[in-house]
Amino acid sequence: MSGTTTGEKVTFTLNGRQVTAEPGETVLSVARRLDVHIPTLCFHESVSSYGACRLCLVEVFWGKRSKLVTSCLYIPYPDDRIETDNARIHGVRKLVLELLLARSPHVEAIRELAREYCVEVPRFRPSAVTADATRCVLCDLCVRVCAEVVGQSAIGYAGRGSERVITVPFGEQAEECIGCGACVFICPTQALSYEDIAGQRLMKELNTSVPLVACRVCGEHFATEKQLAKLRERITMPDELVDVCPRCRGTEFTRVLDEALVTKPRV
Amino acid sequence: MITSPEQLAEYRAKCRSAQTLLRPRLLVGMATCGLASGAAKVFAALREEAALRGVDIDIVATGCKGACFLEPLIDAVIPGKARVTYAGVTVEDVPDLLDAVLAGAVYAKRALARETAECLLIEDCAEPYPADANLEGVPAYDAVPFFHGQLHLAMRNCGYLDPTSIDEYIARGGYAAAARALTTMTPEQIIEAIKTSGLRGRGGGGFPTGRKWESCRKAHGTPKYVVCNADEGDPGAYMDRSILESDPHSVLEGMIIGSFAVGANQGFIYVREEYPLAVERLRHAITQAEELGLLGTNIFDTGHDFTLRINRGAGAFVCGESTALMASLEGRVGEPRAKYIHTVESGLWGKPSCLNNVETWNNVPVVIQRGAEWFAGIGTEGSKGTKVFSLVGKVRHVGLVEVPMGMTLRAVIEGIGGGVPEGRQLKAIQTGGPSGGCIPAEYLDSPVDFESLSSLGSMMGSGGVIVMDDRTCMVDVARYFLAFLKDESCGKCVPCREGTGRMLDILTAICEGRGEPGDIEILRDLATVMSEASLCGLGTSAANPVLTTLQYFADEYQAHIADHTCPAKVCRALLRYSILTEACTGCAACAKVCPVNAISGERKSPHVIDETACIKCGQCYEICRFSAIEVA
Amino acid sequence: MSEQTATCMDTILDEVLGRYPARPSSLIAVLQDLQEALNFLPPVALNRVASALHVPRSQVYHVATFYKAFSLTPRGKHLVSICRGTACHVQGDEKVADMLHAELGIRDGETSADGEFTLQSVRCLGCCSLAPVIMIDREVFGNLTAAALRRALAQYRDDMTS
Repeated sequence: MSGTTTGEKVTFTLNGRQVTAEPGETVLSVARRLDVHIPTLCFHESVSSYGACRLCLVEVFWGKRSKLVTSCLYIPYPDDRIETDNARIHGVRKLVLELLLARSPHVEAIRELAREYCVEVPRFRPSAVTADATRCVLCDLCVRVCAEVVGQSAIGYAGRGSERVITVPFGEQAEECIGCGACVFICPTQALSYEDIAGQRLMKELNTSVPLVACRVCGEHFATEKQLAKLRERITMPDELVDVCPRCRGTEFTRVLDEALVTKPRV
Repeated sequence: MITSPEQLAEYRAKCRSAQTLLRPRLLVGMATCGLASGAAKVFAALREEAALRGVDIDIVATGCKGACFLEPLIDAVIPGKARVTYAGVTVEDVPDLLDAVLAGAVYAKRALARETAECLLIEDCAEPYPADANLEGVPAYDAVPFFHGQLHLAMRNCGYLDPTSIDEYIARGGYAAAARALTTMTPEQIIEAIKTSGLRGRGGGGFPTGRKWESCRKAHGTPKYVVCNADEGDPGAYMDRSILESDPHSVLEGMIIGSFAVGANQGFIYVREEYPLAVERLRHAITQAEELGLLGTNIFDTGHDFTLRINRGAGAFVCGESTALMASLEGRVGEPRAKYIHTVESGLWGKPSCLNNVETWNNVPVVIQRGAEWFAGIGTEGSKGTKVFSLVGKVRHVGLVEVPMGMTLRAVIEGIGGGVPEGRQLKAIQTGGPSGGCIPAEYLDSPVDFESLSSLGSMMGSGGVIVMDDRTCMVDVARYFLAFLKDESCGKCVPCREGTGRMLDILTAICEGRGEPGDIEILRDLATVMSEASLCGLGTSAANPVLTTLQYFADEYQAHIADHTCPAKVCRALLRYSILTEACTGCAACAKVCPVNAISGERKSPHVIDETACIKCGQCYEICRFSAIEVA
Repeated sequence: MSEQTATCMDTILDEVLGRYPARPSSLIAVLQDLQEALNFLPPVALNRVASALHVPRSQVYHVATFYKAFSLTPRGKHLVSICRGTACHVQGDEKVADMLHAELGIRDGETSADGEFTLQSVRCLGCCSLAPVIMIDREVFGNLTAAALRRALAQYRDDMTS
């Protein structure tokens, strides 16, 4: 019976130590809590786990049998014996990094991880597939953050296999995109970016631009119209403060308050 | 409506008497392979001729008996006489064939085999046919090499009934297993029977079916689902298509039994879109079963409800993987997910789901009717029952072959298959599709079962057996499979998406003479990372074709890399075509056939090939009647 | 798009969407029917489907580009599928591809200039005993030789003129 369905804490062995996982807690979460280092690329606390980069593989032993599992998804069973680094794991991570480095040789995050595993230059021939090296490693973080956190599902994929790419529908101006930039901030390889120009936020790789709002006080563009609309859906905010940038919001709030006191004195 | 076993028996008696052969009946094999061999024309000609003559004869379309190399196949059933199978029937044969059948005689020219008894395997009954002098010279089925040693359990009705008729299925004992299971057995007893039978999944994994059902029955959560994987994706395997086209009700019946056993009220059949006829037959079969109350509510008055839906695949090999298939059923892309929680606990829409493939479901009624012990008596220690194989490639008798597990590869390929065509040498046998491997000829005496094939580095898979001769290049075969897999990888996980591409690059380079000594080591490293770190079965087994060819045909890789030659003369970039001056008669046949006009010369004098223009298509080689084209 | 084709498209969309419950699991079936009716999946159709089935457009777009059965650009009147199964490979699928190229002037994934034929490679058609095989629309042609291929194509060319 799986640890997920029992709803109880699970005691297991992590690198020789007896440890306890909360109900439904993954090995990666336990490891992070205990400061045990496991490399990841497609994992982020704020979204669900996906298990695509395979860097977080760990080895589970049951008696004489063992298996590599992704620690971001694997919920331990009682008495599992788990190792987070050994020769087998090291070898596999090294090869995964060699593949990633060959795909995206210019991404510092990948180069750094690769160096950690002694991979400097991948051994493969220049491939037709990745002739134009991409920064995107298809980790899915932008897709998940847009769907699960922002709630817009503006970004997704096109194609499959080696032709799979991150895109908005039809690769053109996506009405769903609110220009919040969450995808840009979560991207571990700087494959996505935006630029604010001429009153528009241009989500470059997504081929989408979203109108910006200027702060009523200082006049600087500070957010997109759609972002503010979304914000108002989620939190209650005095109308007077919606079009004020965070920097001006403090003084503006006091001013609005004062004005209110002056014009409408308390009875 | 049929609401009890008794009513089913009555209905069956009615079907049989309606069918009781008061008049001759011709069954024309009209599954996809029969159709592509011209069966439709023969069928139309037969009907036309019969109408013209105004004779009282049934001419019906049936499914596939498996002897694809002998299509179009026609069975003649004459009241009181042995069933005779005719092979390779053409439109020209129609008048004479009709003459013979109407006269109660045999059309010797096309007679392939006769049955010695009227058999119903599912009920263990065999009524011998009376002796008939007409049949002298027509061999019994078992005396025909292709059928010798075959045991048709899964294919029990293939070629014996009209797949669009539920009456014919019931007449042959259909739905009796469902009646028995639902009205006389508890779900636990059914599961126990399936476990005792030793039935294992026929789709590739070979997981014990009974255990899967048991886990699903015990899993918490409702509703539960049963799913039929009819997304037969392994290239070279087509038994599921044939079963669906020839005997769709057998799959429905297995699913009804399974739904009752695991406690599911909804089932799905996920069929490849490349199988339009199978979809049509299934739709029809479901409607018929609903009309008789065999699907729907309160089946056999037991309170069990079960409805079935068909979903068509949309062209993605990865959807044969259970979690990807379920994602596709939910309307999403076929992306597999980690199976740390099994689909029997959390599958379709997160509910307990029991998935088996076509041949597995089809075997279930046999286990129920003949008994688990009887079923377990067939096959080997670890692999029970029979398996349908598609015997294709460089072999004389191509077709579907159903044999008890454990028969040797030699018996299948040389005995049933008649060996490789004259003058060629058997080189390898590819089993298990892209997840399997290539077994060299020296292992021909290995038995065909789950364990033996795995121990050779290959696997059973869904049953494709592709025979390769000395004109097959094993490096090219490995390259072919990697190209396939790279194309079909969903692209979710790094090792599979990137690894298949890198492997293909290397194999392509080797096939084009750009191989380097270090390539083999990189291939092995890639194989390791893919098998260890990929998310689903597609990725973890993707390296098998490379690993087995490296293991058994290392010298062939060596020849490509070190000597830049392709011993099998397949890899175009490594070939050189030239004309032997002394043998060339100047007939110009080669010059005519050359698609790029690379061959020139005066008529009646030796020709030459312009190597810079030659695309090495080999057409000149094939057309030359004087062996004057040399390939080096 | 002319007003007329737009109305026609709306009618087809209404009809197809009416066949299935308005939920995400109907997506693939709906797209299959639309592909069959329209011969491709235009953006306007995908957008309608997304809102009708309550599926984000990004997912609809991924599904439409993930599965081989779908095409975002118009296909030829007849779809020629070359089987790339193992049996066909060992029996010479490459030669069939060459012959098709010679006959139609197109390669995998391309549509002939006259808009009559689209060529695509498919994984096994399950007719391995007849290898090498192709399928034109829904009809399978086996044991292909250059002559047999020409006959098969001619049949479909004739279909168009008649």
